[in-house]
Amino acid sequence: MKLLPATIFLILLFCFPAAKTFAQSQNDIVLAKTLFIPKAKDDFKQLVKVNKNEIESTFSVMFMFYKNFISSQDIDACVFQPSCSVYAIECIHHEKSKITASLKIADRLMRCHPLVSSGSYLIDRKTGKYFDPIEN
Amino acid sequence: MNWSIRCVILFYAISTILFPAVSVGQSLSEVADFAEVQYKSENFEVAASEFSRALYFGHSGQDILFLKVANCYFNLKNFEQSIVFYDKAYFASQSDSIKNEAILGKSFSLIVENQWMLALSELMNIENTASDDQKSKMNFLQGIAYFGLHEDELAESSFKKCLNDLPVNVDFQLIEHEFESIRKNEKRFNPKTAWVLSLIVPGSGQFYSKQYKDAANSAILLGGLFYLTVNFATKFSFAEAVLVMLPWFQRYYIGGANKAEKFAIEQQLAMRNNSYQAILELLGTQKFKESKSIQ
Repeated sequence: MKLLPATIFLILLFCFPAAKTFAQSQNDIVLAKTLFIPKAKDDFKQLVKVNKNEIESTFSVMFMFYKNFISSQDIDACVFQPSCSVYAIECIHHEKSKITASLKIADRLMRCHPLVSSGSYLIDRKTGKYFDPIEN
Repeated sequence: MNWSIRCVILFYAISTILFPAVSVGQSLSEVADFAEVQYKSENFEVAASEFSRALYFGHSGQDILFLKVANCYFNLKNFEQSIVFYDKAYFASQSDSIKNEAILGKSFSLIVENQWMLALSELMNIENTASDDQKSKMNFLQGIAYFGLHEDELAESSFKKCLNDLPVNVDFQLIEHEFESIRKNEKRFNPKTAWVLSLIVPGSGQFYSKQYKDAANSAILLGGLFYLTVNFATKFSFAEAVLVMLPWFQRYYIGGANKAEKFAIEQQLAMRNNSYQAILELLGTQKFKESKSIQ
């Protein structure tokens, strides 16, 4: 009689299919789901969010127009990272003197050509372009 | 010297001799236990450093400790480190089960780093003695790696094998349907077709890739440049029009075609991702439960 409960348990155990957990944990699935998500496009609005004066506002509007309607149709010709337009709008926003900003932009535009001296810049790993931020 | 000071010094001297200060340090097993507690409470940063400490001082069961450190780094999304420690666990272990776990962990880390081929070559080292769960995970990872390599037929068969391991009869129709829709979308959004269309009529490639705003933008921009070229040719001379306008025209003409090609590829990838999400949804526990309850 003592063996009866154990026997019943064993019979039940073999009668029903084993409740097997799926090998992939929920965390694995969650991580795997992120693998092929398309990359988010560059958000240029971040660059023109804060405008301190009318000059900056005007350049911001021009920049957004250029980025959305002109540059979007252009071939990938700029050799630098960030591109010349982004460099220009950053100069306008960060340089105190707009004359200095204009000079820096002019300097950058003159340097941007396929024969740029490659030894002078670090190479951006993501884009393969010459890294030249406004801090340089 | 004052008597009271003498007494204090004497008291310290005697007590130092009689009751030597015994420094009580943590034993290695206590370190490992503490690390285990941290690991279970998902405090992976502390767990990794404590497991590493136990390893450094020669705690037994090095292979398991290496595996746990690797798991900690995996959970911290430091995949470069996790790969290193999974490798160490593999070479430190004599047990097939731990070796398989290390291979699976390393393969998953490589997959997250988009190293599909390396992940596949690692998965080939899984021993035949692998448990059902390990085999299922191997098929799951193989499926993802093949999917990343755009080897869709192999990916499909791996995902099916993954479901085949389950104790219930799961309908493969959803997987077949998703891979069929991937094939259809690859035909529908052909990058070369988009590129050629854009060269024939600027903007039509973008239209083909369902980027209507961009299609209008390209058509207007190139139309404007064409108008300016004709204007130059009639007002001045054809040679002058070519010299002044052709570089601009060529730049935006080719740029538009390249953009159309890029959009087609993006559409393909977006559709692939949608199908992939649906497949993983099926593979996820929730769907598994649903299919079980339907049965």
